Amino acid sequence: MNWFTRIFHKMGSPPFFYRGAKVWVSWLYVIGFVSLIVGTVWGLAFAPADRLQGDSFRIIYLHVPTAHLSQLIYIAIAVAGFVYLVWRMKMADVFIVSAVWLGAWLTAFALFSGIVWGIPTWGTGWVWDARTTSVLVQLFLFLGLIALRTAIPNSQRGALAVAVLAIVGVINIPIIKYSVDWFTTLHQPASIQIGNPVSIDPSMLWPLLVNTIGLYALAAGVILYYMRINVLRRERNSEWVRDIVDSN
Amino acid sequence: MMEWLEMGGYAAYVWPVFGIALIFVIVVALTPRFQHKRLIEALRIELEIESEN
Repeated sequence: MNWFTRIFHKMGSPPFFYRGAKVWVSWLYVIGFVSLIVGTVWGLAFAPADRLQGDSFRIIYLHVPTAHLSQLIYIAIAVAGFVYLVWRMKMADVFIVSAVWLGAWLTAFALFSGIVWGIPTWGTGWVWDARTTSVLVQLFLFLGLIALRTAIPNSQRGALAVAVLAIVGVINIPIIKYSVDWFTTLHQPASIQIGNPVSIDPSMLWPLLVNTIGLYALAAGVILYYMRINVLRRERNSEWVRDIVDSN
Repeated sequence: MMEWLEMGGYAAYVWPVFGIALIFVIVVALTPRFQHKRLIEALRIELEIESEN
């Protein structure tokens, strides 16, 4: 076995994962909180105001990272669904169950912050255009995954159904991404794209990057924390869980 | 300071978004901590009932 398959197998082992993930959660929380505080204070107090949007543009420091991360979580859930379908790896299902709520909340927050930002800058909080509607669909997909998982009591069949829905729903991701290029929308196209020069001044860009790193780190920490909890819950009858409960 | 709080007239938009984000981050970050403790408590009770039988 090479190092990759060895890590893959070890991560699939619940007791190894439960113990190993603990220190990761702590570090991700620390990195997440420190970066979010630095990025937010920087963005609110030190970044210059936008020439056209004034200070209302500062909502970008929360809107863009949450919207971006919510899509990344959806993609990760679809990949995990694929892994579950092909290899029946239990940890993939544990990941889906642990990440789906956070994905729903982040999507809801991205919509909320977009609505509040839209009122002064677009003159309207909501339009049924391609970007806003496709992100709303993503929220419904997350809620659908949650509903489906709780509606099927049989754990294996529930995991299977959720994996299939997650993979089918991934079609929505390119629609969200390219909605601003394909259709005429109120929403602006991306300012930061791989392969293109960034059209944001560094003084405004840096706090955005710091906040993005912070949010990603904190989200990774929260998902790992939930994964530890769900592993413990599922393995409640095994010996190693008894040892942990006894030693606590 | 007052000028900063006014956010160039956009205070009614900027501060609610950041305020709700603050609550959101704290709730999301702390919830697993409570759930973890509650689960270990529940498992301990399960074990005790089991050992009594």
